[in-house]
Amino acid sequence: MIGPHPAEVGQAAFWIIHLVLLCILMALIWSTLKRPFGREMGLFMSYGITAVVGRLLLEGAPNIQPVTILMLLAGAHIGIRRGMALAVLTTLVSNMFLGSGLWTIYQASGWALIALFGGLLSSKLVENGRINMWRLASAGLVLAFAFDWWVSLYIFHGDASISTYLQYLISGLSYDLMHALGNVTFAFWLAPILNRSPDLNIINTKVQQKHDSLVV
Amino acid sequence: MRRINAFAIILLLSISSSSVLAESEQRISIDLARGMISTAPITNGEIVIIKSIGNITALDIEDGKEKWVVEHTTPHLFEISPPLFHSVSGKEMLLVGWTDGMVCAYDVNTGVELWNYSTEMKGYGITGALLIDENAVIVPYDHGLMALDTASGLQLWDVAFEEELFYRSSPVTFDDSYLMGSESGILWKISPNSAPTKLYSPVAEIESAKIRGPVLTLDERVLIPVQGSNNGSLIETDFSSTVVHSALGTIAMLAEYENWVVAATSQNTTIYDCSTWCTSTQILTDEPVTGEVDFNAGIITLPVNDGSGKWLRFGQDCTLGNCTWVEIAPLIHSRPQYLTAGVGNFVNAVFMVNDAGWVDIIKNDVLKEETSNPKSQNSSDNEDIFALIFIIPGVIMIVVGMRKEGWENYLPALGASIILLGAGYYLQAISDLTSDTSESVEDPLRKSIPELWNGTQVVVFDFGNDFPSRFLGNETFIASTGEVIETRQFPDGGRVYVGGFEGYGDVRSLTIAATEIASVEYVEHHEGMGYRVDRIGTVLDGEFGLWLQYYEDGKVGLLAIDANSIDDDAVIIWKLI
Repeated sequence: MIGPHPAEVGQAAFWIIHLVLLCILMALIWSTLKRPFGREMGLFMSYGITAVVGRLLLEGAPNIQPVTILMLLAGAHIGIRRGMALAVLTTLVSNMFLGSGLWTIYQASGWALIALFGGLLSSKLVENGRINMWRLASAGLVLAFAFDWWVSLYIFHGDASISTYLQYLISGLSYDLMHALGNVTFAFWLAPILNRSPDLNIINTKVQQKHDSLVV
Repeated sequence: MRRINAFAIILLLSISSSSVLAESEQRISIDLARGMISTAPITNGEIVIIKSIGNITALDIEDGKEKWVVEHTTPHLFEISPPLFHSVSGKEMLLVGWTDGMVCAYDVNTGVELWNYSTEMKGYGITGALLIDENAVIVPYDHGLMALDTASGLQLWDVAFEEELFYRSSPVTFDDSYLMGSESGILWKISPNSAPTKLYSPVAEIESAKIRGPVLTLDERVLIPVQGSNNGSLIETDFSSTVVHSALGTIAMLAEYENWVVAATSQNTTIYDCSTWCTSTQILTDEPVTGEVDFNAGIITLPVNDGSGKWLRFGQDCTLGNCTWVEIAPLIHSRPQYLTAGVGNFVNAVFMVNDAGWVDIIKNDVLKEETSNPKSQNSSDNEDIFALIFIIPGVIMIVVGMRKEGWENYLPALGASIILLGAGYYLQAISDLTSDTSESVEDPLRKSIPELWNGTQVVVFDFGNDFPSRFLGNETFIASTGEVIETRQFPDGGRVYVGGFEGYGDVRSLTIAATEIASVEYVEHHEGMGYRVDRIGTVLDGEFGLWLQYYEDGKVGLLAIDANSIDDDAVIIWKLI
């Protein structure tokens, strides 16, 4: 049955998906190694662990996804490529417990795109060493719908038509809303906590802007 | 502002205290001082019988005054076999089974013993419910089942087991026999005329399996509460197919009303829709319930066995379209204690007993009003008000947090959290709203359905070449009676239409029925969000990257198969996509 599903795809398809994502993950990480991780390693680990554990803990909650807002912040804090790598890693690790399949590709790419947005919007999200809570919440609100609709593209692997896809989106609106409300809540909780360490925001934002502007 | 707050608090307190006073005026509390009461009071309309350890007490139903008492010394510190009124030639008697293995008949007017019969005691004597069958009382004793003549107490027949014990297991009539589950988890079919036969044996996965309560019979199906030391199951079987429902913890007495079944355990209480194969509809509570569950006139009463001294009550609420079971005012004993006994809910009053031996009597005019109309208590107006409780403070906190510098660190977070909780609570209602906006898509397969089946429920299996070979090359139309009413040539594999069904409540039960009629294998599993199908016939979900998908009236099915209700003329189409 389509939708989030714990059943596995065929063994061959299963490891090909994971191999491809692993290659992307390695490429993203290694391409940033000329810039030392330094203090960003702590952020990378913190975001990663929080995202994986948060996703596992909230598995039973209706589409409340802490990963989205964390990847948005990761993109802004540790840079686009490392943020995208973290998104792929988070998806792979959490799906080891939650079930993996074709949807893993859509989830990994969806959260990687959110990290990309985070990086691109970093100067808007972080100002004067402080995370702008309202912009973060607004971005989280919009990106929740965008992420869910992106992942829903998965149903085209069947014989779903555009109208089926639209119907699928409409029926899932309530769950998208929960995702959006969850993002806003996480933004409101996280921003004040992170703003207690303005050094962290200033340093990493500057580094990230300098390096990622070259990449993009 | 402080004055307004103070006024509001005083108003709330005065409202709550006035309701407490009103109730306390109608409540009588009696300390029987005769030990634990573990079975519900019963009445014949004049007296109320309360069974405690070694005692039977008859109280006047009007004022609770003691009419007579019987003492019967027993070796155990509990008595859980419920007493039973019976009439022989116009003479009313009270039949009681005791934990010393003795069955006694008492005169209901005086308490004088009319006769007694002592069964051999190997365990806890008589702990199950007695059953009247014509002129016999069927007695479940600790290692067998026997029948006694109700007029004389003479033994009519006895089926004893050498190596089996029974506890709290009660006989249930099944054809011309009786069903009774044992301490080894076996369901026995017991007949006076033949040797007992095993109808069900527990699977090895259930450790220390025991059946400690009566089974339920529903049409051709039997529900068996199998309790394990670490896990347990509610087994549903028609003895050709079996469905296993999880039931963790100590299992309470099953209760049934109009094909709704309540299965309570020490971990949670679930209500099942058993109009066809049972479907878990709703978890009512996670409070521990291990005793006598009552389900009458649409009201579920659960004795909560945690010392809080309350019976939770639930009624059905259909005001929001989809019916749900909602909690109504609980019954609360004046002396909070652990509870396993059901409530004596009589015409004039409610009798509540507890493990401390106290009896509470409440004139039930007020309770009847609450009970008779659970829907009004949970009207959509109230739902809206509850929604506002989440939204208004949440929004206020966010707005204030936006405007007040320094408050933005915590107020918006708290406000958003409250709104998120509220949204989670109302998710089903929101989901229903969005689902209603999705229009039905006409599926070409629907046009092939015979007019004969208009207005009935139909299931279509459209699996191309992946279905069993007997269906290939044809569109096969099978009626719900099992009769193949038509076959049409079909070059693109095979399609099977099974139709003419009525009364199925969800995709799951309808699909199970259709697979049985079509004689194809059906395998499912349960997840947190509901049941999912793993196999239909030879078609495996997820094999080769293809998935089983159902369409309900042309709409792609987004919910688990038991999570939505279907119409009386629903067409469910299963495809491999």
